[in-house]
Parts: sequence; C-alpha cells; structure tokens
Amino acid sequence: MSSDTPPPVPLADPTLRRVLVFFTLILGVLIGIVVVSLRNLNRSIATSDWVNHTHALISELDALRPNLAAAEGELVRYLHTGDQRDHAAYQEKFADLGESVAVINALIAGAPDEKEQFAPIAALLARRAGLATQAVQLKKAGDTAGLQKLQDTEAEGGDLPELARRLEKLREKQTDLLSARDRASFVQAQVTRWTVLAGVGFDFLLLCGAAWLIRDDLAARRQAARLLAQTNSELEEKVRQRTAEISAMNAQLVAQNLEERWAKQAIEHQNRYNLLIIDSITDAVFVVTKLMNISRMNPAAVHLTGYEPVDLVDKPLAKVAQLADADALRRTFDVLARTLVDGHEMRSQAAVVTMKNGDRVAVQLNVFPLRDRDKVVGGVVILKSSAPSSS
Amino acid sequence: MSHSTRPPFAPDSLSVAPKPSGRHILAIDDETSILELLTEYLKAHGYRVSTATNAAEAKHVVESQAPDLIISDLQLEDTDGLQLVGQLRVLLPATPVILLTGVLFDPLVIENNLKWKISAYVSKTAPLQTLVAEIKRLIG
Amino acid sequence: MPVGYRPDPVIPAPNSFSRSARAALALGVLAGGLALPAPLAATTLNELLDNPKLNAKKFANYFGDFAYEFNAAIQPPEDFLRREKGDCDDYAVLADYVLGKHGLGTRLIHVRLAGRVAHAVCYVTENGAYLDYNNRKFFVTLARSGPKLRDIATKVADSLSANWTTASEFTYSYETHRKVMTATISQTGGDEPNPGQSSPFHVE
Repeated sequence: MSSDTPPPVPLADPTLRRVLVFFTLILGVLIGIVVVSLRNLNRSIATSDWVNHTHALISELDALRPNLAAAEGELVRYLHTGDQRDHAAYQEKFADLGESVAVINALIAGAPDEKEQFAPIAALLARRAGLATQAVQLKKAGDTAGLQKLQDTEAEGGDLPELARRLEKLREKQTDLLSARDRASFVQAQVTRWTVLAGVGFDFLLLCGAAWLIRDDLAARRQAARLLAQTNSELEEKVRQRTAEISAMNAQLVAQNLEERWAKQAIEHQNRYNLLIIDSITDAVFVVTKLMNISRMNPAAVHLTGYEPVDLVDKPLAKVAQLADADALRRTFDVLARTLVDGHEMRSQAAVVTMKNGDRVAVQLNVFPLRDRDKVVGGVVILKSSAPSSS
Repeated sequence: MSHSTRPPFAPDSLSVAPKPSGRHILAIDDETSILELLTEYLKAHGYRVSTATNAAEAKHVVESQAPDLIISDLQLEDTDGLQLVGQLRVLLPATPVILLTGVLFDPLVIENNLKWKISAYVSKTAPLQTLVAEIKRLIG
Repeated sequence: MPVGYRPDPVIPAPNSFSRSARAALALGVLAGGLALPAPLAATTLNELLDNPKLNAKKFANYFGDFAYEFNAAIQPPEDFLRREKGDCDDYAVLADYVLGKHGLGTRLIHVRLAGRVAHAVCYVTENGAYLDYNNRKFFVTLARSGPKLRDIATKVADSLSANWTTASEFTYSYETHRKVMTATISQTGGDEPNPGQSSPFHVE
C-alpha cells in the first residue's frame, strides 16, 4: 500500500539549510536585542532610581535649614507665649526636622562618604534640638535668667554658618552625582536605542538575505519545473509521433497483408480457372519442356493415350507421339524440339500416337512455344484425332 | 490528430487512420474467404459492411437495411451475378453497383455490354486499393 | 475614648439613595462584575469604637462616599468623620487608632514618592493588607502586601504608577499631634531598619 503523504523535504537541500541558518541568526539577534535591551532597561531603572534618590536627598537637604528655622521659630514663639498650642507646634516642627534627618540617614545608608559628611550636620541639628529642650526646661522652671543666658550664648555661636557650609558641600556633591547619574541614564538610553536600531537593522538585512535566497531558490525551482514541463511535452510529442508512425506502419502492414491475401486468392482462382479451361478442352493437350519432356497433360490426353499423367509426366513426348513424316524419322535431331528452340509454331502436322495398349492412332499435331518475356520456356502440344468425330 | 512522417513505401489509403464515413456497403460472394477479406479491408477504410453469400441473403439485407453501394461477384453459387444485380437494381435503382470480375470474363465485353447495368467493374486480380478507389469515386 | 476629646454631635450625611436601594444597587453591580463599594451611612468615632464586629473591611466601608481634600495637618477624627473629607493621612491615622482599639495589629506607613506628594496607608497585620484612602470607592478596599516595609512601599508606589524614594513607619497621637518616625528605609538599598531607636528631635 502506497503512502499518500508527500515525502519529507530532505535537510540536505542547501537552500533550506541556508534559510534555516539565516532564521537562526535572526532569532539569535532578536534574542540578543531583547537580552541587551532588558539589561539596559534594568540599568536605566536602577539609574532612574538613583536619580530619584539623589533628587530626594537634595530636597531633604534643602529642607533642613527651613525646617530648623521653622522649629526654632515655633520655639521662640512658645518661649514668648507659653501657650500649649505653641508648645505642640514647636514639638511638631522639631519632629518634622527629625523626620527629615531620618530620611536623609536612610538615603545615605549605603554611602559611607555621605554618611561621614552628614554626621556632623546631624550632630549640629541634634545639638539645636537639645538646646531647644534645654530652653523649654528653663522656661518651665521659670529660670528666666538662665534662659536669657542660653539665648545669648546661642546668638554668639557659629552653628548656623557651619551648618550652612556643610549642607552646601554635601549638596554640591549630590548635584555632581545627579549630573553623573543623569549622564549615565542618558547614555544607557542611547545604548539601548542604538542596540535596538542596530539589531533591527541587522535583522532586516538578514531577512532580506533570507528573502533573496528564497526568491532565488523559487526562481530556480520554477525554471526547473518549466524545463521539466517542456521536456515532458517534447517527450509526449515524440511519443505521439512515434505512436502515430507505428500505427501508420501497422495499418500499412495490415493493408499489405490484406492485399497479399487478396492477390493470393486471385492467383489461386486464376490458376484454378486456367486448369479448368485446359481440362475441359476435348483435344489432347500436353505441356512440354524445351526438351520435349511432358510436364502436364489434360484428361483428353489421358483418354487419347490411355496413360495416366503419372505414367507420362517427365517422360519424352516421343514415347506416345511421333511425326508421321518418314523423313522426320531419319533425322538425327528431334524436329519438334528444334521447332521449340527456334521459337516456331507447327500446325496440323500428321503424327501417330502409340497408346498404352499398343494401339496406334493417327492425329494432327500442333506445337506452340510458351514464352515468358520473349524467352521460350516450353511448349504446348495439341493432338487432334484424325478420325471423324462420332455424333 | 498528429501528422507523422510517412515512410516512403506506405500506401496512401492507410497511412492515416480514415474517418468512419458510416457508408453501408453490401458485399456479395459465395466464397466466405473473399467476403472476410473485403469486410476487413473496407472496415479499415471506415465503411460499414454487410455480406451475403447468395441471392436470398442479399435481398434480405437490401430490404432490411438498404446499402449505399453493392459489390457483387459475377459467379455466384445459386444465381448469375448479373441477374442478381438486375433484381437488386429494381429494389434500389439509385444504388451504385461494382462487379468483381474473375478470369472467365473478358473485361472488354463487360465494359461494352454491361455498363448500363453496373457502375464499375474491378478485376479480382487488381489490388484492393483499386476497389476502394472506385468505391470512393462512387459514394465517397 | 482619648483624653481631652469631646465628640461632636453626629450630623447625618445627606444620602441620595435609601439604604436598601444602595444595597440592591451594590448587589446588582456585583453581579455585573463591576467594583463598586457598599458604603455605609455616616458614623461617629464612638460608633466605630463601640462596634464589636468592626474589622478592617467594615471600617473601610464607612468611607465610600468620602471626598478627597488635602490638609497638611492631620484632622481630628470627629472632624474627619463629620465633614467626610480628608486625605490619606487622616484616613490612615484614624484606621490605626480605631482598629488598634479593637485589638488589631496596625502599622502606619509613610511612602515618599519621586516628584509627588507622599502617601500614607495603614497596614493591618491580621489581614496581610493595608487600607488605602485611594481605594475607598472600590469594592476591594484592602490591598494585600508582604509585611516588610519595602514590600508595602513598592506596592503603594506601583498602585500610583510612581517610584518611591524612602518609606517610613511611624506612630501618631491625636493628643500630642506628633508624628514619630520609628523606622525609615530608602528604595536604593539598605536592610529593614531596627525599630525603636529614640530620636533626639523628640523635644520636650
């Protein structure tokens, strides 16, 4: 049982191999683009996180001095008013300041340099908070002189300029870091862009190459198919021609065969009728060779001589018939044979037939040469009985 | 139909397969071998052939399916060919008749005396091509 | 009841639908697959505190009709409930207070976002989820999250389609009006902080 499924395309097909290689390359490039892009994307995200981080740090650093000023402002208000709401406000402001410091500490937790730079700032701020607490305690204790002394001492101190200087230095560093991280983020974005563009471009070239290969292969296959079809039709034409020739030859042979059979039957008829005609003649007819040997005799000859054909065929005519001419008897040659050789006729010559039983019958002899294209090949001897015919 | 290169010895009549003309021919001869030859040759030329070995069969064919042409032998077993032809022409006056002459008749005698009765005569010794040529001349 | 507080008289909020009609609407919407809340009628702090069956989900249902209004300071709870307006701080702090009174483990989380206003949520340990004022109008008012500060901050930032920079766990007292940061982490790194460190900025 033959299978209906087409045979699988052999992998040995060079075009198929090349196309597979191309598509493998394309796939590889695509995967490479994806991997590189994802990696760059992750880096960009990380860089973006660092940029946000740095912005947040700068914002918090920028908020420290205003927060401190606000907190100390609320403190001063409380020290003046003694109002509990002002007290709560000053505590809230210092809590806000503490939140900012906590946030900054969290932001610089993984950066030893920043931690080292911020530590004195945090200490300064903590000292300010401590002074605030001290002032409140003095206020609550009603130690106005001590409070005044504390405030005077504070006014001479250099905390705020020192704080400003340190904050500015730390902020400057963060700004530089921000620029660097911005640049890094930009570069990564560019790298990603160029990676994708280059990969897509390369893939496009590979696709074009694969398409060219496929187109080329298709064209070659179409050409081969066309040639095959052309060869097939030429072959079919030759087969048709040859078949027609063979059919014609066959028909010709059939016709020849029929003609031969027709000619054969015509000859057979001809011969049969010829024999019938000869056999129906009442005169004795002998067909002889050039040497006057009998080759055929008709029934009248049988009746006249008393011999059957088997007795006389291939025997000389002289066995049964001779000329009555006395001179002919003395001649050393056969007159009748000479007549045939010379190609002459002989008519109504007196002759004698010697029958089988020994009787002799007088006859009239006629000799006619038989010619085949002017060449005497034999003769016909007709013997007519000389006795009057009975009615 | 494709046309092939004809061999030099191929007879014209059968070098190309003939189209069946559908013409009906009645062949009359007392020898079945002759009738078989004629039938095979004429069918190869696209004719429809009926045969008869005697006058009765011939009349039966003529009455049942009138032929377009009659071929008859002069010498039939149960009747004279000429006589039969005369009877058949009464039934089919317009149908051409070809006489097949054997060795017993002088063609000159036939030509001079019998042309009023028959359309053509063909000697049995002549090739079959000659017979077909006469048939084509008479009925196509 | 917190010391020093006198709850204001309850003023019922105006409702456009009756309670049964709203419940029917909620059921119909639920059958249709949409996410709409089944907000409950206006309430007072006492009602919230006295409701023995109150849990995080039921607590959130009271705020479906509340509006958003930014306040730098955290509103007193009665004001928030009466006005039915507030922001994430008001909601998270109230949730922490009320649910804490009902014995649930609550944590206040403050997430600072890059280039945006910070956001506050209340994490309920028993639910493994946090209450977010932005989800008050949704059927799903609790957002599931891991317990770590980093997990919560990431989830909050993702819900706002933003990046976070730092996150803090804090406590708040209605009495002292003080927000105390107990732990702070940054997005870029660092392990979970050690809580419980005292701050020099918690002045007297």
